[in-house]
Amino acid sequence: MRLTRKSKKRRQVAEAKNYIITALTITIVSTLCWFFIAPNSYHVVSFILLFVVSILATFMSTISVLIAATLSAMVWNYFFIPPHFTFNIEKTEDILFFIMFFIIALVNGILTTRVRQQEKLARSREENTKSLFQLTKKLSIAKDIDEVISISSNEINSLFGESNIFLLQNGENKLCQSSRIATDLQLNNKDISIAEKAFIENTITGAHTKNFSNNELTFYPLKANILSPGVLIIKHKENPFQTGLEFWNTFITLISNTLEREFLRELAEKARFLDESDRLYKTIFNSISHEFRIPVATIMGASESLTSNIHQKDIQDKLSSEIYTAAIRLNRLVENLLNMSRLESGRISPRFDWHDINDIINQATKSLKTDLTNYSLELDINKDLPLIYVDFGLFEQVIYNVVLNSIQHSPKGSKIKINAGYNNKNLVIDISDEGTGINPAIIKNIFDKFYRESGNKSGGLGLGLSIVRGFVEAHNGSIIAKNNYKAGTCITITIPATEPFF
Amino acid sequence: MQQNKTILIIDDELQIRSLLDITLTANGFKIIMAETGKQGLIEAATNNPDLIILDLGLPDIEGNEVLQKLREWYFKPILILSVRTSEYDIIDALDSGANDYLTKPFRSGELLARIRAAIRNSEKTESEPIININDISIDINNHLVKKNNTIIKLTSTEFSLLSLLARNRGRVLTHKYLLKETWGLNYQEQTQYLRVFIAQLRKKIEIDPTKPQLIITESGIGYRFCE
Repeated sequence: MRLTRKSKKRRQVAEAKNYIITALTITIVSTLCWFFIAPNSYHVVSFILLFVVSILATFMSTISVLIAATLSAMVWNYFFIPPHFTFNIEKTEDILFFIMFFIIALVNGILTTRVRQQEKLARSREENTKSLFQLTKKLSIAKDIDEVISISSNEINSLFGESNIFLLQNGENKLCQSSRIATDLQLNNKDISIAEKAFIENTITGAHTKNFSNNELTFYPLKANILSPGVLIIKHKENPFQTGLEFWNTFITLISNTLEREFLRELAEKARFLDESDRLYKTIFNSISHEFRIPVATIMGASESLTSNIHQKDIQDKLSSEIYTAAIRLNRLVENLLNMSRLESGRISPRFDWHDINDIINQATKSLKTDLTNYSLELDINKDLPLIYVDFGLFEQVIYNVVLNSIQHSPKGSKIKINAGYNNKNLVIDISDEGTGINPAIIKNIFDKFYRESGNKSGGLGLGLSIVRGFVEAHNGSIIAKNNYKAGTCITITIPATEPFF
Repeated sequence: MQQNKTILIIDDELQIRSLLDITLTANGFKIIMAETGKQGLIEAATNNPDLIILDLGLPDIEGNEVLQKLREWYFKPILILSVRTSEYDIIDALDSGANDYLTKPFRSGELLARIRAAIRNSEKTESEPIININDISIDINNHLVKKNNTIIKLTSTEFSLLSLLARNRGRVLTHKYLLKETWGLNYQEQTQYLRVFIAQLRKKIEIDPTKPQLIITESGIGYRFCE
C-alpha cells in the first residue's frame, strides 16, 4: 500500500513539473515576441503561439495542453491585441480572431494528444502480439516438459524482467517443483500451501489479487482443456492486471496448453512403454515356463515309472540317469536365472584376487565332465602364464557357459580347444569349436539377453552368453565371436591384466 | 567302519532331510533329524552324534551361530550345507570350526565321501609319520618327499604347506587357514603367496600340473588334498 502511495506522489510531482514547463514556455515565447515583433503585426504572434501549443501537445498531457491553450489565449489578448494590457478587445474582427485562436489551440492540442495515446496503445498491442507470437513459435518446437518450462520461464523473464517458478503436478494432482530448472525464487512452506490452494480452487491468488494480496508472489493456476498441469508463480515488478489483462491471460493459457500437450505425450509414451514391456514379459515368461516344463515332465514321468517297480535293472538305471540329466538341466536354468538377476540388479561386484588360470579352467571343465564325454577337450595354456587377477567364481562361470555353448553347437566326437595367453598386457582366452558356426547375420546378437538363434535345437533361455558378457564386462573385459576359417566358432575373451608384482 | 555311526541332520527343508535320511540310512548310518537350530542344539546335546550336517540357512538361528554354540563343547566333525552363492558364509563357517562344506545341489556320492573323510580324520588319534598317496610319499618327521621313490627337493615353506594339506587330506582348508599356519598371522590376506607356492608344488609333485590330481582347488574357498 505504501508503495502505491509513493508512486502516486511521484506522478503528481511529474505532472506539476509539466505544468510549470508549459507555463514557462508560453511566457518565454511571448516575451520574445514582445521584443522582436512589431506591435501592429500581432496576428503573427497568434500563429507563433498556436505553433507552440501544437508542439507542446505532441509530448505533454491533455491538462498541460489545456493550460497552454488558455494561457496563450490570455497572454495574446492581454499583451498583444490592442488595446494592450487589458482584456478588452477593440475591433470586432479581433474578438472573432481571439475566439478562433482559443478553439484552434484547444482542438489542435487535444487531438494531437489523443492521436499520441492511440499510437502508444497500438504500439503496446503490437508488442504484446509479437511476444505472444514469439512464445508460440518457441513453444511449438519444445520437445518435453522441461524445455517448455525453461522456454516459458526465460520468455517471462526477458519480457517482463520478473523471476518465476513452475510447480507441476506429479500425475496424482499433487504439486511438486520441477527440480531440473534453475530458478532464483525460493519458496517457503506458506507459499507452497498458497500454490496448492490456487491449484485446487483454480483461481489466481497472491499479490495484485483479492486473496493473499500481502504475499509478494502471484500464483497462476495453469488450466488446460483436459488436465491442469500445475501452478505458475511469478514475482511481479508491476501490477500486470492494469495493462493488458487479456494479453496476460492469453500468455498463460498458451503455456498451459503447451504443458498439457507435453503431459499427454509423456503419458502416451509411458503407456506404449508399458505395453512393450508387458509383451516382452509375456515372451520371457512363456519361454521360461517352457524350459522348465521339459525337465520337470521328464522327472515326473521317469520317477513315476520307477516307483511302479516293474522294470529290469538296466531300464531302472536308464530312468535314473534321465532324471539326473533333467535335474542338471533344471539346475543350470536356475543358476542362469540367478546370475542374470544378479547382473540386472547391479549386485555384481567382482572379488578380485590372484588366481591360477589352470585352476579356473579345470574347475569349469570338471563341472562339465558328463557333457564333455563325447568331445575331446584340448587345453593350450601358456606354461609361463603368471597369476591372473580375476573373480574366481565369475570367471569359472564364463568358461563354463562358453564351453557349454560350444558343446551344444558341435557334433559329437569333435574337438573343443581352449587357448590362454598374455598379449599386450591383456589376458586373452580363445575357446574354439568345430561346430556349426554362427550365421554371420546374427553374430553380433548372440550375446544379447534372451536371444536365441531361430531353429535352435539346443533349447535354453538365451541367457548363457549374455551372462558371459555381463561377467566379462564386470572385469572390464570384452568378448567377441567369430567363425573359424574351416568350421565352427571361436569366442575370444580379452581382459586387461594386472601384471603380477612378485 | 561306519556301522552304528550316528549323524544329526539340522535342516529346515523337508525334502533335503528325507533325501539325506534315505541316502545315509542306505549306507548304514543312524540318522537323527532336527528342523530348527534350537532343536538341533538339543538333539546334539542329548544324542552326542558322530557327525553333524548343518544347513547354514535356518529359520530361527543363524547357521553360523548354531555352529559356534556347538563348537563350545562338540569336537566331532561338522559338515556345512549351503547355497552356491554364499561363499563368504562358507568361509566364515569353515574358519569358525566347520570341518567341510557342500553346496546345494550336491551329489550323494560326494556327500558320502565327505562324511567318510571327516569321520576318519576325526578318529585318527596320532598323526601318521609317513603319508602315502598315489606315487607320493611324505615323511613328516624327516621332511622328506618322494615321488616314485625319487626324492623331490622342496623348500621348507613348500614342505610345511604340503604336509599341512596332506595331514588334513580329504578336508578343505581355507586360504586364510593355510596362510596363517604356513606364513603366520600377518599374512592371512596374501593369497598371491599361496597361489605361487601351490603352483610350484604342483609343478614338483603332480603328474600334469595343469590337471592337478593331488592338490585340488576349491573355487573361491581354499584347497583340498586328495584322498
